[in-house]
Amino acid sequence: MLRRILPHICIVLSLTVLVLLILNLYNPFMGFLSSAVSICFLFALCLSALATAILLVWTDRRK
Amino acid sequence: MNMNSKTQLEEKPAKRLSVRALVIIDVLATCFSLGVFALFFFDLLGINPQPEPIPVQQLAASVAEVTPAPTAALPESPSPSPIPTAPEESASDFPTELSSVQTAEPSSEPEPEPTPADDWKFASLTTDEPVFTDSGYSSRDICIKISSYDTGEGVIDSPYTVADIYVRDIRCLQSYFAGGKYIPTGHGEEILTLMEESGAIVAANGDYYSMQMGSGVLRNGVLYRYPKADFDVFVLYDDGSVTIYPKRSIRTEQDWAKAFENAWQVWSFGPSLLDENGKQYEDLRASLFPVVANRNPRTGIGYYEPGHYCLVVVDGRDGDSAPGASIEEFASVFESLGCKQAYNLDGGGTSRMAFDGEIITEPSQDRVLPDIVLVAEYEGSGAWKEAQNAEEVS
Repeated sequence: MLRRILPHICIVLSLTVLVLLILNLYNPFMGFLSSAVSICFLFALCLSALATAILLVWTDRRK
Repeated sequence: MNMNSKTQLEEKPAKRLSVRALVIIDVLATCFSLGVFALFFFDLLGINPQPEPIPVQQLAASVAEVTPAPTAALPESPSPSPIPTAPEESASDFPTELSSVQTAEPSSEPEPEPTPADDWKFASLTTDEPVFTDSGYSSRDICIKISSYDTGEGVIDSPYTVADIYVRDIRCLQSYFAGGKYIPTGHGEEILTLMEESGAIVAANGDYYSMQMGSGVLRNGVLYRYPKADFDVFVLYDDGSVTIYPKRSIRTEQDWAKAFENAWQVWSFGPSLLDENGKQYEDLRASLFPVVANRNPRTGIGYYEPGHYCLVVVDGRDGDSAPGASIEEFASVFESLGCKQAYNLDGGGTSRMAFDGEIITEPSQDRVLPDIVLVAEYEGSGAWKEAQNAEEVS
């Protein structure tokens, strides 16, 4: 189950951060990337990306 | 038989959603995720209590507690130093009455001595009684001259309006929030409503603080938040002098606290338009998106010397008759006026100026404002009411 959900979590978080990056380009004064909430999202993206990558490598090696 | 069933079950492929369904689910989940972000970022649930506003005098006291030898000068660091502005000798001529505003026990403080009119450098511009004319206003403490330049009359192609402002008491140069209080999540009102509430004689839009969560907000001597994003920061001190701190010149709140000591107003938008010689910066466009640096309606504030300022609004987005001003053209307006410092405030559809209850520029669109820069007789003004409320609370 986790193996199926993790990539989607990655996609959703990546798209969210991408939107924030674009917003930040247009109005850096809003601090879209420097707020505590943004950092939480970035942290979650890193964790999910890491977990997805580890799972992928692990699955690959078991084949 | 059992073995066969098991094999059939293992071979049966897991039920998979179609690609289209997956994409739709991911997009919806992203929207949900952005919604969650907005909820917390704008604090729409009111989870984070807003920090109590700090009167600048208390701020100065807290700086003194942290730093044994407090000084208004910035700490020495590899960061660029602020742009020098007010000559000390002229600053000392400017009467400072702010200290009587935010004291904890105002009744125990001696009333500020009224300054004889002759002592003030610009006394010849004032009148004993308040007088409105078509092109300005004068009273004992204030002189405002409104000049409008039509297409082709000024130094740029677009029409612009200049409010030349002389104030004896820096408390007359104020800011006012829509709703009468600091609302970081955003609240706007028409400029004429804001003028009426604040007692403004002349007003222009401010820095639109509610759309810039990383901006520093210090208004009428009360600190609401420190700058967090990279802005040039305009600081008007209670002696009437101005310092514009270049972006990234200060990083920590403690250093900002020192920079804000004795500050009366802080605006965060920018960029700063003129160098230390009163000439426009050559690389103004470098830090801006082309769409921002190109011709637009503009609002800015200029500084000549303590007690003498100007507000400039350029009309725009109206074809050839009012194309607006590029950031370089806008700086050239302040240069032509002879300002020592100039600072760009929010522009575009926000830009507007009003005088004596009427909008005297041509805003490019209807828009409510979260804050204005204004000049008002201190007694009875928005800042005066704030000070009265603060005294009652204390």
